[in-house]
Amino acid sequence: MAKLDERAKTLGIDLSVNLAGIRLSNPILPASGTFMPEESGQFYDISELGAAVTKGVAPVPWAGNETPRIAEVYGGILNSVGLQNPGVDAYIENDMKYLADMGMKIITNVAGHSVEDYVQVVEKLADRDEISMFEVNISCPNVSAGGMSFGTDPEMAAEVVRAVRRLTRKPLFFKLTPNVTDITEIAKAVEAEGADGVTLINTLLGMHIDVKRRRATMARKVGGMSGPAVKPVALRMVWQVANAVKIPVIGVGGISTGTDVVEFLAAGATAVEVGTAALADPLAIPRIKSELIDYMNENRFEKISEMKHAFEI
Amino acid sequence: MESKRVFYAGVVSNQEIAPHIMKIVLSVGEEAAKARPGQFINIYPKSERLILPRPISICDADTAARTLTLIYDIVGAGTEELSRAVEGDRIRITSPLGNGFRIPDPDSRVILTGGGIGIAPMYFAARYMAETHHKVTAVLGFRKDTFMTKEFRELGCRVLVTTDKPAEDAFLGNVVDCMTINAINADCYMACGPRPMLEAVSKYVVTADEKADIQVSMEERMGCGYGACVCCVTDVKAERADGTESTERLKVCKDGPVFDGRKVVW
Repeated sequence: MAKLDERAKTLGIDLSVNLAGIRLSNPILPASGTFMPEESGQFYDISELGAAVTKGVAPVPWAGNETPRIAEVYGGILNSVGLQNPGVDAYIENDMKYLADMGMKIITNVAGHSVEDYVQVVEKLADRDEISMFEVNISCPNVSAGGMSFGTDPEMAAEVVRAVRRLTRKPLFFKLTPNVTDITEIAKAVEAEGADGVTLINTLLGMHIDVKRRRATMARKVGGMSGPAVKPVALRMVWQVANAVKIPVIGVGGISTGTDVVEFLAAGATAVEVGTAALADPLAIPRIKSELIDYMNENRFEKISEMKHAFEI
Repeated sequence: MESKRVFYAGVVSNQEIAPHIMKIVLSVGEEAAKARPGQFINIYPKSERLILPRPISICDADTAARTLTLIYDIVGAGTEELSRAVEGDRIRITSPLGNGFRIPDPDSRVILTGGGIGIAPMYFAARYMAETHHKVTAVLGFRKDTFMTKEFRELGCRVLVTTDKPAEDAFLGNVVDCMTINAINADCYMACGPRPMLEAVSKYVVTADEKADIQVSMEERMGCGYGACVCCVTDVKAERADGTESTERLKVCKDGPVFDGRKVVW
């Protein structure tokens, strides 16, 4: 048992959650693309995580975008990595094996330029006992083909769900983009086709201009914004979606403290993901988890699930 | 598993050594002994406006005094904040990160090339090799104001100084012109500076000597600085299992910052 889980236990606190039938030791997960098993594990014991959420895995290696891929903005960052990844075969040999050997629960994030891409990855991994569930990224703002376009149209989102649903019995989560008029429409569309849950929000499309060099700061001109400044937007959308669908919601967007986690749980999330905070501070995840335990202890919560009902929202 | 730390270092001193160029000495305890030339540390700014760490290369490590010395250029809000730190302040940093220079055999002739603030890690390399009595020549390039040249001389290095604008006791031009005119050659070259300089030095070495080793410390806009976000990448030539050539897109912070100059795709 990880140290912080043990500390919670001695305080009479049960951090575990049931996410679409999968029991997680606690609700704190890393956001896809901000976590690497070995690199993150240099700084903290990654078994503190409820599960590992991998970087997006595509059927073949993707080179991603040109650099600069990152810019600092007020209250957050912009990134345009473009889902650089070594492809599903290398994923099986390296990260998946590494995480499985550590006894970690694995949520494999799936990336695609086309429906066929998503199908190929899920097909290849569907029977892998090492993987607990999939999180299908239909919301990346940093790729030109596919990516976010699937997540901005309810019919296209439904098409991806239909295509991968028949391939696996493992829980399928779909990661949604906030760059839409009404995110609940997309959430309802994926629920109707058999999604087991939704993760939201992916990054908000943004831009930064370098006035000294007189050009866009990012090579791709635009990028996805994340960090503390997007939290109110993410929280609002999680609350809207949690009230619009029956499937569980993973809340993500700007979480930097234990009470941020509490807010997302209060808004209806079953689990949360931490991204930018872990880039800004490699120890953010254990700190946030520790702060969550402190909050529960001080406010006499014994179970995570109690929180959803303890707030009048 | 957990081999790296994030911790508070004490500021021992922080002073300007040339216009906009600062030298800070940090008390870091046992981490000083772990530092190798070419490595860097992440500095976490105090201001909540500054989300990302500032990666700064290590200019020297003193195991006895348990300190790290960094030299940095005030280029933006992060380094500006750092420049205001005074003795006794506490600064949040990481353990030394990245892969440093491979130090060649003591009988090798070594050329260290530094451009601008890229001189900082070259000093650490020079100091490291001074202890092992390597024959070291340092070629140091500046825009106008020079710094650290005396310190390199004190190590016993042969020092060649170049500047973009006319200056006393300096070669007018860039480091590669200076190396060409002085017909410089060695068994091992190490370089840190702007990408065009690293490219030029690598090409100089490739032309000058088929066997010479060329190690370049790359700079790229970093996010997390520890390998999680995959923002700071550079293309490096690799070989497939069947012997054909391919390229790999590697992380400067984690796979580098030091790469083989012959393999970098310029």
